[in-house]
Amino acid sequence: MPTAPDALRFTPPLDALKLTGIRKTFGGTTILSGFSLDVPEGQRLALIGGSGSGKTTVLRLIAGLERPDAGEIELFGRQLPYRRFAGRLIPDDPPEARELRRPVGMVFQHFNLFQHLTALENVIEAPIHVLGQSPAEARRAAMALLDSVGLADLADRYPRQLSGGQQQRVAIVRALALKPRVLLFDEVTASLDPEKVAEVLAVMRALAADERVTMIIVTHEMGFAREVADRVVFMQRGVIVEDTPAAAFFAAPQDPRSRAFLNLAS
Amino acid sequence: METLFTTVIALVPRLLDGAVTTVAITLLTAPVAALLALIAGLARLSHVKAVAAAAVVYVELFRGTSLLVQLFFMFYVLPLIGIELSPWTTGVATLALNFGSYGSEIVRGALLAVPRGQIEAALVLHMPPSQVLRRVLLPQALPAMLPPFGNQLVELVKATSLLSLITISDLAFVGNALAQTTGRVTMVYVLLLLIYFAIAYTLTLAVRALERRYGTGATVAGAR
Repeated sequence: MPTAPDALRFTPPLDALKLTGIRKTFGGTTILSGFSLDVPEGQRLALIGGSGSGKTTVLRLIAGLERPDAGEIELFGRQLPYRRFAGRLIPDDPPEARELRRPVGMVFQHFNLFQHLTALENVIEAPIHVLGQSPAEARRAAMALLDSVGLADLADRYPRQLSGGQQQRVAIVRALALKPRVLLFDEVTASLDPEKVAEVLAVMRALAADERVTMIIVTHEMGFAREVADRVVFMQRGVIVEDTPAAAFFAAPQDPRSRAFLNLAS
Repeated sequence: METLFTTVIALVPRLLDGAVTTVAITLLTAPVAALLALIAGLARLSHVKAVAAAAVVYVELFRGTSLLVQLFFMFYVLPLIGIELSPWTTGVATLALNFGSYGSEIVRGALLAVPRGQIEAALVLHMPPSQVLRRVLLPQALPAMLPPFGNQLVELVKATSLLSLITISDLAFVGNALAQTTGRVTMVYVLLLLIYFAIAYTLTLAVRALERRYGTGATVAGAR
């Protein structure tokens, strides 16, 4: 049965990620109320919206840094184990939850490199101590990854000896070293000097060329989102306002709020 | 004729016996106190409310009451309720509990000083909490604890003199006895001060050496 490649891209058989009815409040402020989102495997999703729209919270929920007040999170068809306790959801069986989250990696706005470890040591830490790789094996893989982002020469530097752009590239490599199937990017260029933004975007562009990794990118870089994303989800106050293929979104945003946001952002 | 020199010669060996006891008490107590500090400091940061509350009770109880009274309580009151401990056990345990309560605040502060973002980075690398503590938090918090712990160690040396009041023949005990039996009050107490200072200063230098090797300053200086 002949199908257009584009259609295939938007309806693959397996969802990498499925959020259903997520509710999240912080100290009385509702950030998400009944938020749902399906992300097919391999998709590049740009999650955009103003500050306070809840987009970072969505990433943090997926990564397990926040827990939902209600709702379900599914990764590759398997539901993350939460149970209700005293009216709240708490992680049920943390080791199993960690295991199920194994395919998820995250990169932060402020890099968050381990300051007491060199670039190389930052990268090999989890492969050795979480995956149980041999140091030699982890080192070899890490050096290859560092080399691919142009940092092989700086492998033995400490984070404070690196520029912001270099630190962020190390942080991306650190996430990649665990061979994630889903990568979450939380405003990874937002705290970089303008001239360093390009070097980080170049790394992400190269990553996006690799068809296997599902990417959810929270960003204010509209040009980059337009270039890399297949799909744009525009959020405001915890609600999805517009959810369309990226090309359509940037050509002709449907909702007046998206139009206003795009005008401001560009 | 008795000279200054022969007096010192006569007194010093006995004072040194007491000094050995003082050093022994210090070196026995310090690791126990450090362990208690680590446990209580971590417990204060626990998400489990009962654990954190227990740590608060311990810390405030031992920080908020007199060390001397704590010693007397352990020495005189515990036997009345059937708990008989040797003077040494009583002394070391009380000192360790007291200094552990102060130390726990050092531990807590040093752990909180590690940027939260690094904990989150470790969690999204799927490290279990025990590994986050061992491989991310402690390697950065321990060097920051060294200077205040060094300070506590010197305090501890001086505090051991209180154990002379529960029959332990430490430096202060021997000194007091010598002052009374020989009548050389000035000489004995000058020597006492000098020996306490020598012990404390040696420990200070030892901690400084550790700081140079492992401290925060070492990594900052070594970076460039």
